Amino acid sequence: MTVFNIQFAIEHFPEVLKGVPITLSIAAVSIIIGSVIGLGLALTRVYKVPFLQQLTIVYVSFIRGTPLLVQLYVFFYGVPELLDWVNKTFTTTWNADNISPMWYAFMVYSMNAAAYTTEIFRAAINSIAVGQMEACHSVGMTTWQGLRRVIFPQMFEMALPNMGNIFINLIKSTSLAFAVKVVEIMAISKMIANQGYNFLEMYSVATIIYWIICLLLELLFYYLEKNVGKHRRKTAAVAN
Amino acid sequence: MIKLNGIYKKFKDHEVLKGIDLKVKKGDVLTIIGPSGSGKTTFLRCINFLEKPDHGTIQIGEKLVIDAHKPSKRDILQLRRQTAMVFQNYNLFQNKTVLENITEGLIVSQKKKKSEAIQIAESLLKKVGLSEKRDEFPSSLSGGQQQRVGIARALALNPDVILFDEPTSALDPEMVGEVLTLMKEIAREGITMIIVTHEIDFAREVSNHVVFMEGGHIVEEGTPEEVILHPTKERTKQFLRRLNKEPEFVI
Repeated sequence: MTVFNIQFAIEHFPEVLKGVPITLSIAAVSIIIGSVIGLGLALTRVYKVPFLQQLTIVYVSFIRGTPLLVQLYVFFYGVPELLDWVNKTFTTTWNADNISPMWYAFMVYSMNAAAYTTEIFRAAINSIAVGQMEACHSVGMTTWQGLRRVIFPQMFEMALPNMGNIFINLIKSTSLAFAVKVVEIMAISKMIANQGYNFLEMYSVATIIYWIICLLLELLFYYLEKNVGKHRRKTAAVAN
Repeated sequence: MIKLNGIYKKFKDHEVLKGIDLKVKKGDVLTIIGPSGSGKTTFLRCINFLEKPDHGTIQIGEKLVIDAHKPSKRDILQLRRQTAMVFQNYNLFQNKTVLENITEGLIVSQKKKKSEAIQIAESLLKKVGLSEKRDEFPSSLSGGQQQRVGIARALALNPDVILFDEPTSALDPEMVGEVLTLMKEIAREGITMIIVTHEIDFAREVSNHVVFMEGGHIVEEGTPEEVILHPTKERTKQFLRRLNKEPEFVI
């Protein structure tokens, strides 16, 4: 066996690139769905909604306290069982075999993103002065109008750096999705490597691709942070 | 036209307001004075339900009467749409420009057209002397300027009453003047105002009705002449004496 076969790595690089859209779509879909759910959950905690608040606490703790890989397996094997049970009980004919692996990935990664964004949004809302909402109320806005027009914009801006972190973590954790048969960057690399035992070469290719994606995302979030919330930059300018 | 009856408020075991009755007529400039912790700010915040009183009724205008026991959401919203507030910490919307701060309430809660709202906002900015700041964000303004925007925001709503919650307490001494001058000007225009303040001289000069509060009660009320210059209650005298005390050291 030769040492690092660079020729092999370069040759198969384009093939691995085919996994990039899959990786990106899992991360993008789950950050969007996760943020929507996370925002709702964060509000149940900020407004101390009885029952829902406790449910949120348990949910966040559960998701953050269990490994992603385990969650993937639980869903991958659990959902078909659940459908079986539903079919038997309600005499329906759902077929778990028709569920594409991507759907399992979307579900689990969205649930995961939701738990983390809940905490981010909660912290962001809590860091906004209570006076902002009082001012909304004082000019005759409803709580929802105040949230939408004053609180959420400030919250997103505050949450942006942390959202960048979550997104990058999501990208990296999609490498576990091969466990539920999603053919993304990691799965493709593994399959190619298996053919000739070129594991080091193919994992190096995957490493480089992940790093490039994350680098680009870092740049994107850097740009967003600089351009969202111009009013805060002005504070700094005045303070100086 | 504003009638408050038996306003009572308790925070946990601490009774902050022990049943306060107050009447405010249209065009009144009412100042509420009193030591810290006397409940004056809480009382003011009860008027527009930023603080929910435990008991009591609030009547504003002829029609709207709110019972603290069973306030409907719609009534509270209506109450807030007939009042406006100027805050101690200004509380301008941080993500909105100066102009948007003023137009926001007009567009969102009063459903005015954007062009009309901008027109109102521009004329008010001129009045408070901040026309050139219209597109700045609040964080780039000085405290005094922010508070003037806060006053413009309240005026724009054309409310039945404007509530002022210690509007100069957070300001640097040299900025207090510009805000008080503006408030005097508004008072002269016949706008109904309820002001919680520590500025006794200002209260004497600008208001036609002064309320001295302590320990959740109204101790004494009347004209500035009666309450500030010739108080009858011992507690009022003591409070004013302390404020007017000669400096102990002269350098």
